[in-house]
Amino acid sequence: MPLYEGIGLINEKHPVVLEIGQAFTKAGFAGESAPRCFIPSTVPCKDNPTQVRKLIDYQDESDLYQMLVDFLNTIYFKHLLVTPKDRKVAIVESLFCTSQWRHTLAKVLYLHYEILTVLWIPSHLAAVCSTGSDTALVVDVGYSEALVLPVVNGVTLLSHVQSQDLGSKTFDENLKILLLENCTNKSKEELEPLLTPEVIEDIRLRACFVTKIRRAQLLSDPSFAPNLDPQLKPFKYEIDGDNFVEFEGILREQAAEVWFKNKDPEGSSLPYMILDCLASCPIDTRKKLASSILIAGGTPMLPGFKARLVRELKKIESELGETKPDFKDEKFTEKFRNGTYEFRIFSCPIKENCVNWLGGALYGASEAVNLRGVTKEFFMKNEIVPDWCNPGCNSVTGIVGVSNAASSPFGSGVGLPKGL
Amino acid sequence: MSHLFQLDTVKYVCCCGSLKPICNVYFCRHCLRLRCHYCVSHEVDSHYCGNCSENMPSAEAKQKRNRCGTCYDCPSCKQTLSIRATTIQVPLEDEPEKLVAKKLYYLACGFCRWTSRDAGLPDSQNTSGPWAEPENPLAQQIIEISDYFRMLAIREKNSKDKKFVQKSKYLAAGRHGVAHLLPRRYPVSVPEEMSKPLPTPLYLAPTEGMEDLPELSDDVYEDELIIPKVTSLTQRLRQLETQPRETSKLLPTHKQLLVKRSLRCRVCERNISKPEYSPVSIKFKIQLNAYFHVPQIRLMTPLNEPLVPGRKARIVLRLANPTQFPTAIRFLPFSFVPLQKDGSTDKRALDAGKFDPTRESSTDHSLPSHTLTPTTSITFITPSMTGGGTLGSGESTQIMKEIHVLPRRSERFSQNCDVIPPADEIVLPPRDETSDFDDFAETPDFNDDPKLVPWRKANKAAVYLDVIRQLTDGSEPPVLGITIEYDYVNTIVALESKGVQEPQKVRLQAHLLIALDRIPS
Ligand SMILES: [Zn+2]
Ligand SMILES: [Zn+2]
Ligand SMILES: [Zn+2]
Ligand SMILES: [Zn+2]
Repeated sequence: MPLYEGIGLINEKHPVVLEIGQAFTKAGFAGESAPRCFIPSTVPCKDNPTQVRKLIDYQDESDLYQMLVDFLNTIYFKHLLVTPKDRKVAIVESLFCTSQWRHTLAKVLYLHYEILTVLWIPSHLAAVCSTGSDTALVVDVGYSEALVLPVVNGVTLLSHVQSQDLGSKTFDENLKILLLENCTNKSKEELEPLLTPEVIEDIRLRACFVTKIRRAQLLSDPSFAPNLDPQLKPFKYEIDGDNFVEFEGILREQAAEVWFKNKDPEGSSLPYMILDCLASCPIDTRKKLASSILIAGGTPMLPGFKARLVRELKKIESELGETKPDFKDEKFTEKFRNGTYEFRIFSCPIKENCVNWLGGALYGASEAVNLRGVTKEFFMKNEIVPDWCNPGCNSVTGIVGVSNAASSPFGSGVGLPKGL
Repeated sequence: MSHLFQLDTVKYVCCCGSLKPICNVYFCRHCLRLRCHYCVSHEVDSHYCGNCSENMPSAEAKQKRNRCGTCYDCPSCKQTLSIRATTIQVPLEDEPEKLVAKKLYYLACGFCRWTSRDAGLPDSQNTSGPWAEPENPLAQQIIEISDYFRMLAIREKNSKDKKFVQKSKYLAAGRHGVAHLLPRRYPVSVPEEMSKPLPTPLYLAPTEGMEDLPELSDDVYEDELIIPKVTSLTQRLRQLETQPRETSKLLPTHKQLLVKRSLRCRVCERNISKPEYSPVSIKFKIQLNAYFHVPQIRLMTPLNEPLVPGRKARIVLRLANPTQFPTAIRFLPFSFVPLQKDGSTDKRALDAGKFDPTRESSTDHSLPSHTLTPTTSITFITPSMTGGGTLGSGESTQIMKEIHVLPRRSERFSQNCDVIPPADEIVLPPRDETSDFDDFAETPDFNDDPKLVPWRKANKAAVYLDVIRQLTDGSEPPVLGITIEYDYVNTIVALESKGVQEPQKVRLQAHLLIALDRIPS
């Protein structure tokens, strides 16, 4: 009965997949290959509708509740164009979002929008699942922090997570200093008020790139910098009709060095985070993880990033073999001495900034929503959303199964490795 | 509208706790209660294109991913693109020496001057294109991963179903004390399923090592950076599949549709607002604005000097009856009580102490001490009864229902002035369309006390009210809280019972907050 099938196909209501990030929110439908919308996580100000407020700047729970109600209203009726209560929802959430945030979002979804089932997916697991594999070393560069998290055979090795404030926020703060120093036609005082966060973000996106490792060595020493060959040409940037600003080209390659401060004992660096994380992982997983690095998040989409990262990793690793004296940790050197690693980075079927969302869309299109989704009934009765860090969910034997299940992309029983 | 109905001056307190001007409040004729945007449930009613005003049935809209089939957006600035025609000379097929004019079409933006030629798209022979659209080159691979996942999930589902058969057997035997308390969806894993190997994935994303990831080319270092040739974030985010870096790779996209919404009362699940289907119509099939059902109150003269705590002042309010039936309005002290459950009786509603959305004004909501009466009383008056009745059981179930289904929003406000309620009711005749245009229409005589009602015309009247400022901090602007009680004739009951019943006359309350220091314009 082809006609009947056709109707069934049309009536099938794919779950809504939402990833509300600190800076950007992605929303779309399960089973699709890209989000329908990718918008800043902001709502218009109550007092002044021309201004916006970021969701993360909430004052308290009731303030957040209100903002989320307004925000989801925009997503449903301006972008997704579906009736909220008709569809299940898959939420892709950061592993480290506060329980206040989580609980408030749950209340907004279940109580205000009357959603019957919500599947809560940790974002790094979603990211892994978008590769089709079940093992990856997830490097998630978000707004406020960068995370390195190993997932082995679908199980998150949570105790080995590395986190540093190397997100786009830090990047932009650093970029702002560089912009102020390298402006050729405006004084610092004139320029400062023009450099809004949006302008800095735009310059980051359009001008900056991650330079070659050889040039980076020269860049790190100010006395060598003038010897760089070729020198980058200055560039013009139009802030608005009245303000054309000109900057020295060198900042274009300098900005991204914030991620690679390997020599700075105070600073943090992405390659070190990755190696630290690897060093702490069980020895039999290290090789596999080193060759399954997965980059998630929009900030690392700068040209040259992946190429530089693998080279940095290789370089540090080979230097470790020679036991150079300037490394912080003896043990660290010890762990990497025997055996060489091959560092490889996943090439995902989608851009890095949508990797987490895509994972959510894949989960959402499967039976997982029905199997793992938390129903409105359950939430009303228990007032909790089962969670890996909520002690209430881990106390009863049966619900321990939940936390296991939640940490495995393939589900309890099926995907769990034998050892666990 | 904004000044006519004094958006900022007079606020009606909705059942959910929102404060709204009368034109933003709805009145559910079945529940006989105020509703607002916040506490009704919103639904997508119909899809249409905002540019060509074409309706699109929901199924088609879904299939076309909510995009109009004919209109395109400029990828550079998001304005609507227009179709331009151009003529070229082409040789005739039969006689190559002869040239004929042929029309070709391309897309152009009238705002930023982008054209489909900038994207390298060839001109089309048809006005409708087709124009290339951004597509994820790896969409097929995503489908393969998706299929793999579905397969895994089905495996898991099957393993669980087996498990449940066993579990229920035990349950029947009553061996497991706690097991039945666990939600069905959280079973422990099954050993035999655990040992089975996973099927191989259909597609695995490739990994790239040093040899696959070359360093940046020399062009990056030698070429001058021209910012307008690099796409901005918003431009990239409109083409999520490809997110091109060069502006030359931007492609036109089909225009996103808009929706008309309908609103539904959460308590009785009936429509409160339903638009007409036609996108060009701004009318509604159902539109239960409070503006047509609840007495309208405006501040005619504000305070002429600041009101000191403890002191009295006189204000003038203007009342209007928008309904087809006469009404009698009585003024009462402010008696709004936010929806609240008794705590222990039901776990489902939220604890008002923990949960108190939205801060709006400076101080906490302070209720005057004399408000022990329930929030809004609906008293049914049967023809035989005169005067006020007692609270019916129907009303308490109604309020119980509201507690469960209405989202609560206790907007904070400060209410620092009280009314000294006049003893008399003010009777207002029904609205008569023609009287609005007739300056000499006879004003009915209601034997008003001139000290209470100084002016009257058709369905409108002015009233003097004495207000007294509470003995609290006098630095805040004066806000009067007032409750009005009025007659409402419920015609719905008569309609639904097919005229068996008489229209029912009920006594309703509305709660208002009036900013006394704002000058009505
Ligand atoms: Zn309301
Ligand atoms: Zn259109
Ligand atoms: Zn344009
Ligand atoms: Zn109703």
